[in-house]
This record gives sequence, structure tokens and C-alpha cells, in this order.
Amino acid sequence: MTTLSLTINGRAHGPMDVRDDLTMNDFLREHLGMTGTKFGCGAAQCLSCAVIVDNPDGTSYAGPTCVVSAASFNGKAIRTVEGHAKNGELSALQKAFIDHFAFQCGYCTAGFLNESQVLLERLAKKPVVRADLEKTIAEALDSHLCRCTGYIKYHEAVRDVILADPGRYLV
Amino acid sequence: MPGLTPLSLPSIAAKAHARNDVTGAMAHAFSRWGWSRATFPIAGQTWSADIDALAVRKGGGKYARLDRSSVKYPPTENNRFGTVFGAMCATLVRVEIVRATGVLRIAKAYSVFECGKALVPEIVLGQAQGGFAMGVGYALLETLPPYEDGPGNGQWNLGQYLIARGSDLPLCDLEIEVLPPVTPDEPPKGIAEVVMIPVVPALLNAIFDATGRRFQSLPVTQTMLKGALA
Repeated sequence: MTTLSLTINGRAHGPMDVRDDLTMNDFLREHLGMTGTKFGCGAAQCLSCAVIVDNPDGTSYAGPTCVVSAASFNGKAIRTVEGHAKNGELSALQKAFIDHFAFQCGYCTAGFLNESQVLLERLAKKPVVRADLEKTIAEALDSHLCRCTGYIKYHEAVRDVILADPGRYLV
Repeated sequence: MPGLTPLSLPSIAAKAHARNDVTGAMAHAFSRWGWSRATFPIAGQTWSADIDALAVRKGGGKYARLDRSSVKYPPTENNRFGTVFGAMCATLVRVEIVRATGVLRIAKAYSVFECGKALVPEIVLGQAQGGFAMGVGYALLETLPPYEDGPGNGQWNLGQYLIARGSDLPLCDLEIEVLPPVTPDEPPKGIAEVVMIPVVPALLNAIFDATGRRFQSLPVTQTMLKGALA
């Protein structure tokens, strides 16, 4: 057993004892009941299980929860799909995903949402030129698998959010 | 048979050509919740099958249609089953293949189909885009080999069974055109599968056009393309 304390969507959890072999995915879904994070391949290949990990230096990344232990998240801060809406209002990305019909079965959506949010925050700090935008989005989302709508609608949804606020994301 | 060498296809073909035997056949079939059926005269005998037209070629000659008999079609009442599987789809692709590496890029693509009344046009479009991605997977990536090393061993995952990613697609250059219904009162027709199907022959035809090589099995991988261009 390991003692685990972490921050999820700005809220402190723990300290609590967890088994060393408990995956982060099982911890979120089974222990906390936060089933918005999905379990896909279980091999870090599809990233439907990805959450946002906020590093102490202010950077963030979207990483899998299926092949890593809950214990390895001790002291860390993460964000999940449940944390995007504020006061009951969906985030700009969430609205864009819905407006574009970006998903059908929804299994990959939480992963795409987290990855796209990381991209937005990265661009807000380090904007890109318009000519590089399509490539930037494509590369950011490329490690996520989707089997319904074939990526294009996610791509267009993220692009629309960025183009709606060019002063923030583009140079 | 034990002790005998298996006959090779070229030697069988050579013998058939030399004897002016049947060297090619084309068939037509029709289904209406049941297959049409007919009988054909072949080599002095009759042969019945679930097809309604058959043409054969002898030696290097031209195809000639065989006179059919005992033709049976499923009853027209079968149309009342209520399901129409008549949605049609066609796809055009432009590919670029790097000669040195065999890396294929789909530079541009276009799919067009008619599906009757689209109940939710946004989802129809999403299905068509997703179907394109799945067709790309079937043509270029996805493989399920038999025997011990295949997925039947229970050890495969998405690291080996490769499906299309965003980078395998023309994300900004895939045009989907949904034609208006043939008649105003035409019912909706399913498109979920048809939107993947023409993607595969379109890609293989484009590969043939680019390389001169006609591939007969899927997927056509980067390694195979590199070999074809070597």
C-alpha cells in the first residue's frame, strides 16, 4: 500500500492508502466514481484515458492513465473531463465539439478534449502563425485514436476555437 | 496428393490456353433478400448457381455469354421487407508516394454518395469522414494474419493492429458531397458501410496508376510500396 495525495480539478484528495498495483484509471473510475475518463486499449495506444497533468513549472501535458499506477500521481495535480465546465457552463472547446458533431460514440472525446485544452494553453503562451496552424493541430492530436468521425471534425472544432480568438493564439 | 508436386497456376493456365479451354469467367448476381438462380451449359454439362448471368472466355478468345435456363428470381414481395440497401458511394483519391521510402500520402480525396433523406446531415458527414478513415485503414494499415503470430493469440493490441490516425488522412483536403435524394419522398438509406468501400479500390487504383503495380491483397504497406518502386 502507498499513501496518495493529489489534486484533481483543483480539489485536494487524500491522503489515502491505495494498492501499489492500482492503475490511475481504476482509481479515477472505481474509487472516485469519475467515469468521464475512459478505459480503451489498456496499452497507452489510443489515449481515450488521457488526463491533463499540470507540472509545477506551469507546463501541462495530456497523458494516459491506463498503464500508470495511481501511486505515481502522489503530490501531482491533474485535470479530467469533469473539470472543464465552470459553474455549469461548458468550455469553448466543449461547445465547439458539440457544435461540430465532433464525436459520435464519445469514447475518445475526453482524451481529445484534454489534449486540445493543453494545446490551447500552449498556444496562449506561445502563439503560432496562421500558416502553421493546421499542422500544429494535426500534430497535437495525432496520438489519439477515433473510429467514428475520422478526426476531421475534431480538427475543425479546435481550429474554430483558435480562429475565434486569433489575438490570443496566433501571431 | 502425397508424393506428387502441386500444380502451379502458370502451368494450369498454359494447359488451358493450349487446349482452348475456359480461361476466364464473368458472372452477374442479383439479390433481393435471396439470390437469383440459373442453370448454364458448361463443357457438355449443366451447372446451376446463385447467379443470373455468366460469360466465359476460351483460350485467348473473347468473352461470350452462355444461354441460361431455369432462371429463378426471388419474389418482388421481398421488397416490402422495408430495408433499402441502395445507397451508392464513389471515391476519388490523389496519392503521392515517395520513391525512396514507399511512404504514401493521400494528397486530396473526394467522396460522393446519395442516401435519400439525411435525417441528421452532420452525422451523415461524420460517418462519411470516419468511413474514409476506415477505408484508408483497410487499404494501407489494418492486418489480421492467421495462425500463431496473428491476433488469435490474444496478445494483439492497437500497437500491432494499426488503424488510421489523423496523419494518415487528408485532414483539410477531404471533400464529401451528399447528393440530393433521387425523389422528394425517398426514405433514408443506410450509409455506414458504403462510405468505406470505394475508398479501398480508389486507393489501389491510384497506387496502380502511380507505380504500375496491381496489388491483389490488403493492406498495401509502406514496405510493399517501397518494393514495387525499387
